[in-house]
Amino acid sequence: MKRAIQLDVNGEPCEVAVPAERTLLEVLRRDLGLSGTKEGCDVGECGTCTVLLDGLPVRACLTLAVDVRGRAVTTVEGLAAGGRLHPLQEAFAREGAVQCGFCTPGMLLVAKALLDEVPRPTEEDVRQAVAGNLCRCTGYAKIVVAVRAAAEAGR
Amino acid sequence: MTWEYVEPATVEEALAALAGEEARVLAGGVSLMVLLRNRLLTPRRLVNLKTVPGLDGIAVGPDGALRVGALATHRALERSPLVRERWALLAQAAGHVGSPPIRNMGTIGGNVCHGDPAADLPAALCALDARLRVVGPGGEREIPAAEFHRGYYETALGPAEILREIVVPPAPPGARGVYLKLRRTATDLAVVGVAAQLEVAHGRCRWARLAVGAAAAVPVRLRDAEACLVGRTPDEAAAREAAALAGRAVDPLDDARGSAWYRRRMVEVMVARAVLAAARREP
Repeated sequence: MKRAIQLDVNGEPCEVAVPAERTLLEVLRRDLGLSGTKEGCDVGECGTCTVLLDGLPVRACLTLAVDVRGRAVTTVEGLAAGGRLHPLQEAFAREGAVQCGFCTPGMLLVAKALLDEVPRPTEEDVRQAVAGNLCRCTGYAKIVVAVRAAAEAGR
Repeated sequence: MTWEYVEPATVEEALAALAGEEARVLAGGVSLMVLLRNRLLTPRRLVNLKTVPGLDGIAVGPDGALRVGALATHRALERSPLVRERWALLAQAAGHVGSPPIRNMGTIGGNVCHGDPAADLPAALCALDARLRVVGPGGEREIPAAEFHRGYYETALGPAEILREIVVPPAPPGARGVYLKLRRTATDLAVVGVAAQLEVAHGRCRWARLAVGAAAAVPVRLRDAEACLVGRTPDEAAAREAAALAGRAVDPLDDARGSAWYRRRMVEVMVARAVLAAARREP
């Protein structure tokens, strides 16, 4: 039996009809066609499904869609505004923080949440913030550089 | 696989929804959803406790004890100025759970009731002499933290009961607490987790609480190690002696995170470090 839920996704009101077991990740990718959020491990470990829920990073694969009725979800698709890339996106591209790109949406979102709270993060702040997001390619070094560069650029 | 999904507005409604059905509580979901996705649990009904207001508070009660609602998130505990200041061990343990997104979602109640032997909060609550307030069809009852964990993923919580609140008494005013976690990666479950509180006055330990997690099916309170510290200077020799007693008190698990032999050695290492850190009043 499906339930109709309304939620705000990247500033746009959305309505979907979902069965009780559908996750937020499934809603984003399949019902809403927002494939930027990735399905990695499906058990909340890898971080590729990370989205912001009312501004805080959460695991979309462990979140039931019915549980986020009325809440605001931000995905990677919500970062660029008015045709312009977010400073984090620009910094990631410029600094070489993207290789295969699979971890990138999750990384960008946890970084955004960090900068929203800590405008001038230290290296340790950044490493703590991305601790829940695995990257197989970059070794994290350029991701850390990019986040701090975006913080600089934003001031 | 699907289930009926219920959003109770009160504790009474939640209890009614849990009774007589194969129902499970949904709190933060970070433990439950993994079990559901892997089909290790197949409930017929999920009861979302987050829709009941007032279960996530963090405040000091009239008796000076900390009252933590079962739905308080790890993030809230980690960041609470009150908890960091006066129950630092609890804030540190909460801050070591998983990763930031997991801490944003997960709750202390869920962590404790899930009963993973490697969980962080059960050991901390043992060392804090916490009491768990549970409510069910038979009414309310209070269970000491040390008696709450019965076995591997098994707690004293009855099938139609919920954990409502955790009460943490104040430690002696000069006591300092630390939580140390040995893990293989930045966000892994513990190989060994040690919760320690020491009160040091005039260079001597007056009072001690030690508990270790991930070294047995349940958290282990290290009473012999505590006793050996009381009355003496908490220096390296004392820490080593406490550590040796701790090593003898545990019955470690053999699993992917470490063999029983390795875990026992690491209990000794981490207990010694925790004793010295708590004595030095370090975070």
